[in-house]
Amino acid sequence: MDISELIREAKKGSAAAQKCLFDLLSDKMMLVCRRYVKSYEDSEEILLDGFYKFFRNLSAFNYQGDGSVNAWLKKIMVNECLMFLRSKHSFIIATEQQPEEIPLPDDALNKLSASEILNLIIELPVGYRTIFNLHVIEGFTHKEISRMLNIAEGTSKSQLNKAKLLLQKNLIKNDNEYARQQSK
Amino acid sequence: MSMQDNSQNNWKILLEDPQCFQDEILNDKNELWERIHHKLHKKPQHKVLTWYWMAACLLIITIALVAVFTTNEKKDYKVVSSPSFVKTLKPVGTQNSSIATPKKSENILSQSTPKSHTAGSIEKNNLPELKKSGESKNIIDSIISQLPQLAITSTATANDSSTLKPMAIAPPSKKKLRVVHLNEIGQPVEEPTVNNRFAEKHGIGWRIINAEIYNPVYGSSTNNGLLLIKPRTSSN
Repeated sequence: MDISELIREAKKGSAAAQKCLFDLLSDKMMLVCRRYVKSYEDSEEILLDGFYKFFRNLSAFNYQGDGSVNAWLKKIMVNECLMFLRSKHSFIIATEQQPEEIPLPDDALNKLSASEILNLIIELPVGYRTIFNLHVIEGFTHKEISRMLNIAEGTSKSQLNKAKLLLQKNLIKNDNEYARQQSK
Repeated sequence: MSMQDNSQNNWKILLEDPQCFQDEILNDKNELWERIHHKLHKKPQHKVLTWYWMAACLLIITIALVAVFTTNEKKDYKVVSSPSFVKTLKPVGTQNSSIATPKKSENILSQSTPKSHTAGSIEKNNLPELKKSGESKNIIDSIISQLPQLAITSTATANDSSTLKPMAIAPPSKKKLRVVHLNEIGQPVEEPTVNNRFAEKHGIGWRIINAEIYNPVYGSSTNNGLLLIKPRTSSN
């Protein structure tokens, strides 16, 4: 059974089809939640809420390929994460001047494993992490981010730059530690 | 250029691949699914019904409070068989013929305000002295000075015969006067109302250990909504 059929059956209310969709997409969506929320338990709760909303509003969903399902579900999860962070007052982002744009250390990141990259992202402060995820990974523009988080566009840019700086710093620290371990 | 982009996005692709994250994979999907399934098929609660109940309870409480605080009756009362002040004024009547019969004096006194009835006890105490000495005028004057409310009627009986005469001569009014009973302390006792009688007959009392709890009398002015607890040993 492919995703389009599962969606069709799930729209009719078939619990089996809904479970299949959950099994198929839950791992991927869990990773999305983990990037935004540090706690594993909170991520799980957000995942449940996201899937609940997905199935509740499935009748309004217009299937346009497997990618559209992924994109829609991802959007739901990101919104759930942002709602969670807002409810916890996790990020209070102060308005700041727009600094010069700092390039992302892609080369250094490519050398790392997936779990190391995830750990580096999770270790960032909440505000930095959120904007980094939204801009770099999800691909939202600063204008969209400013609208989503109700902040100034310049603030979004400055937060992103700070996130990148901190990421570089952490990468260097990791490199040094790795080099030390190798020398021993 | 496309190769460079691919190399740049390589780590991003890794981040979205669940197979790269063995630690982050959900352990018990079935349990999670059960929770979602339960949430999806949970029947909506009847919140409206609870609101109805809450509104009904509030209404009952409001009505009860209004009933308790707006009534004007007293619960505790004692009926005294004969008003004491009638006896006290008898000697005055014998001395001064213009005051005439005790019935008239009773009428006069009963018209006076409830405050004047406190004089009854005082007069009662002074009665033997009044009989013995015979100096009724002086004593009455002293009594009158003690009793400002009774002054009008008493002065009329004792001192001013000119004012008394027309009162005595005047035909007794057929108007039905209100009879006020006094208790032993000399305080006016109100007649039991229908509400009080009903509460006396049908009131429910609970006993707790060595005390009796009386439910509040409906229509009592002194009733402040609190239960009255009296020890069983008390005479009341």
